[in-house]
Amino acid sequence: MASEKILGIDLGTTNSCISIMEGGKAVVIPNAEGGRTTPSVVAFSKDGERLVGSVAKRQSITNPAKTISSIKRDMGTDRKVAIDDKTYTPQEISAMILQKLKTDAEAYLGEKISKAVITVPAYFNDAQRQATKDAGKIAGLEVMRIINEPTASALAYGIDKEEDVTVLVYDLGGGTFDVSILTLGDGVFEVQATAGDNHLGGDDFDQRVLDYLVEEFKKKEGISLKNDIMAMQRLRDAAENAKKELSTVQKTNINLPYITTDSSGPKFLDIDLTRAKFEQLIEDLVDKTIGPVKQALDDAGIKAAGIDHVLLVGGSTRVPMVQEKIKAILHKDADKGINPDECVAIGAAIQGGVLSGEAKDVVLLDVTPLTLSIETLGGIATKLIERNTTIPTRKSQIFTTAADNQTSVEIHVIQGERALAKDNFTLGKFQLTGIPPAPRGIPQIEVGFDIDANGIINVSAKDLGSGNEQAITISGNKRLSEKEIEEMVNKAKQYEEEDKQNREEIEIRNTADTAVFSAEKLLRESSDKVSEDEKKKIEDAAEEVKKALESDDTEAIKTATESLTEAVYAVTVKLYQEAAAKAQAEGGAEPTSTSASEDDVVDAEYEVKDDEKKE
Amino acid sequence: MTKEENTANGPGRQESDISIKSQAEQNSGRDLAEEVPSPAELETLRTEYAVLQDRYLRLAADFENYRRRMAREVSEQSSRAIEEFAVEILDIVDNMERALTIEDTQNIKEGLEQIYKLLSNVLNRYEITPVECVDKPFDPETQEAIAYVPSEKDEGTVIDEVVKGYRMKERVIRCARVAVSQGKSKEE
Repeated sequence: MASEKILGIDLGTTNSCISIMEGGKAVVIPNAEGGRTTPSVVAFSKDGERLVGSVAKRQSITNPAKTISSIKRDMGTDRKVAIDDKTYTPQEISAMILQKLKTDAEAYLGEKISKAVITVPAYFNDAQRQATKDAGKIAGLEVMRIINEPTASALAYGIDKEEDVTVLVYDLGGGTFDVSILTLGDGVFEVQATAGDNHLGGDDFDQRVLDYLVEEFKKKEGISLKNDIMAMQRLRDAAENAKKELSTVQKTNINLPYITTDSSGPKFLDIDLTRAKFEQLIEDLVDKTIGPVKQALDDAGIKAAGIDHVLLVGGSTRVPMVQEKIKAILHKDADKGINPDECVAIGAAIQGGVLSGEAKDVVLLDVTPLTLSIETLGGIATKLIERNTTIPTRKSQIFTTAADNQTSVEIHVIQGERALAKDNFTLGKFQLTGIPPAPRGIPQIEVGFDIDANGIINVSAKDLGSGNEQAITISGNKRLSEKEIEEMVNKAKQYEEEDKQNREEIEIRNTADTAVFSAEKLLRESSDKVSEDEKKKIEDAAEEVKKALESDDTEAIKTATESLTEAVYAVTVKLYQEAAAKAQAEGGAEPTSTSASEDDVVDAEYEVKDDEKKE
Repeated sequence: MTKEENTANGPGRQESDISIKSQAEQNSGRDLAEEVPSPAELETLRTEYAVLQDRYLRLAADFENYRRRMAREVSEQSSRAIEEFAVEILDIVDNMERALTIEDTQNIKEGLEQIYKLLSNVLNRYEITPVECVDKPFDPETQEAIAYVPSEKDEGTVIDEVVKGYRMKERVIRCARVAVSQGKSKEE
C-alpha cells in the first residue's frame, strides 16, 4: 500500500482549498465549517484568540488592525505584521492558515497529516517559494514539493499524460488575475511566460453590479442608498447572486422589498438585469485580461494557434463573457469538467499522490464505452451493463420464455444506447436449447455478462430448471473505434424521444399480450368457478385486445388492455375471496402481474419478469 | 522563464524509482537463489496470483462503480430532500396568491401575519431557528459584522441586526449581519 498520504494545498490570496487522493482519485476536503474553500484570512481577537478562515473574515470590520488578509502578496518580503506587542512574518501568518487546513484535513480523514504539496503562482521567485516552504514547516508540514498553480491545473486535467503540448492557463480569481503558458516535454512542465493583473477579479464584477443597482434605484426613486449600511449589505449580496445566476440564465431579477423608507412610505427595489446589460457593465474589466493573454503569447513566442489546451481556473471564469473573449483570441474551446475553484488543489493532490507512490498503486481501469444489452420480447434492448461502468465487472439477470412450450431462446448480445435492439450494434448471438417444455413465463434463464480487465466479454445463458448452459466469448476485435462510439452516443441522444416512444409502444403491446394470455389461463384453470356471465365478459374483453393488437393504434390497445385487466380483476378478487373462505391458497396471482408493467419506471429486477424473450 | 525544477507526473522520474527497486529485488532474489520453487509450486503460485489479481481488479472496479453510484444517489437524495421542503413552501405560495387576488387593503396585513405564522411553523418543523444576537456580545461564529459604530453600548456588543441569522438544528445556515458597537468614544 501507499505510504503516508500527502495533502494538496492551494494556498490562495483570497481563498485556499485542500484536496487529497482517495482510492485513486483526488477529492476536495471540506473545512470544519463545511465550506469547500477557506478564506485566507487570519485574525487575533481582543482576548488574544487566533481566528482563521470565515470566522476571521466575519469580524474583520470590528478588528481591522488585527485582521490580516491577502498575506500571500507579502510572501518573500521583509514586511512584518505587528499585532499587539508581537511581530509576525508573512510565513508565520501563512502558517496559521496552513495549520487550520491541516487540522481540518486531519479531522476529515481521521488520520495525521504531516506532508503536503503546496502551490504557488508561476511568477513566484525563489524567495517567495522558500517563504512558502517555510510557512509549511512552521505549520508542521513537510513540504514535499512546491508546484506552480498552472502546472497543478494541467495535472488536474491529466494533461501530463500527453506529449509535447502547449497549455494556456487563464486564472481569474476573486482578486487576482494570472495567465501562464506552459509547455510539456519529457513529462516536465516548463513555464514559458506569465502575465497578469494583481488587482483584478470577480470582486470587481460584483462592485460594478452593485454600483449599477444603486444608480438605477436613485434614478427611479430619487434616493441614494450609498450611506444606508443595511440596504448596501443586501444589495451587495444580491449583486453577487445576480452575477452568479447570469452565468446560466439570460436574465435575472433583483428584488429587495422594503429596501428603504421615506416620507411617502416603504420603497421596494425591483430591477431586472439581463446578461447583455451585465456584460456591458463588466466588459472593460474582461478586456483588461486580454492584454496579459496577448503579452504572455508574445513573451513565449507562441501564436494563438500553437496553444493545444486552454484551462480556465478561478470562479470568475464561469462568466460566459470571459469564456467568449478567450475563445475569440485563442480560437479554441477551453477544457471543461473540473470545478475552477478546486482545480489547483486537485492538481496538488495528484502531485502528492505521485510522490507518495499512491499513483503507482492505482490500476488504470477501463470503462465500458457503450451499454451492453440483450434483445427481449418485441425487439427491446434490455440493459445489463450500463455504459461507463468500470471493468472488470459482472452482472446477471433472470429472463423467461415468451411462448408456451418454448424449448429454446436466442441470446442476442448488443452494444449501444438505443432503445431497440435493431438500432444497436450486434456483438454476438447464440441459442440456448433444451429447455423443458413449460408454459410461458415459467422457465428461468439466467443470463450473465462478465467483462474482464481486457474488455473481453463472456456471455452465458443457463436454464436454471435443466441446468443447460451455453456461452460465448466476444473478444476485443469486435470492439468499436472511439469515433464510432461517439457517433452511437450522439445518435442515441438524437433519437431519444422517438426511441422512448417506440419502446413504450412495444411495452404496451407486450402488456396486452400478457393480459390476454393471463385471462385465457384464468378461464382455463378456473372455469368451474367463473360464472357464464363473467366468462363472457372476459372473453369479449380479450377479443377486443386481440383485435386492437392487429392495428397500430397504441391508445386502443392500452384502453382495451385496461378493460380486460379490470374484468379479470373483478373475477380474481372474487376467486380470492372464495379461496380465502375455503382457506385454499392456489392460483390466480397471475393477472395482477399485468398491471406491473404499466408503470413506466420499473426496477430492473421486476422488469425481468415481464420482459420475455421470444425466439 | 522559470524551468520548474519539480516535475509533475514525470514518467522518467517514476520509472527510475521503479528500476532502483527492481534491482534491489533482484539482488535479494540472488541471495536466495538456492531455494528455487518446484514447477508444481510455481504453477500453484501462478494460479493463486491470477486469482488474486482478478479479485483485486474486480474489487477496484466495484469500488469505482460504487463511488459513481453513491455520487448519483447522493444527488438524487438531496434533490428529494428539497422536494419535501418545497411542498411545504407551496402551501405558503397558495396563500400568498389568495391574498393577492383580494382588493381590500384593510385585511392584507392580517393575512400577511397569518401567512407569516404558517411560514414560521414550517421553519420550526425543520428546526430552523433565528440566531439571537441583539444586545449580546458579537460572535463571529454565527454573525458577520458589517458596521462598527460608536454607541452607548459596550464595545463589542451587537447593537443592530441588519439581516437575521438562522440555524438549522445546530448548524448555522446563514450568518446574521450585524452592526457592532465601538463603545462610547472612538478612541479604540
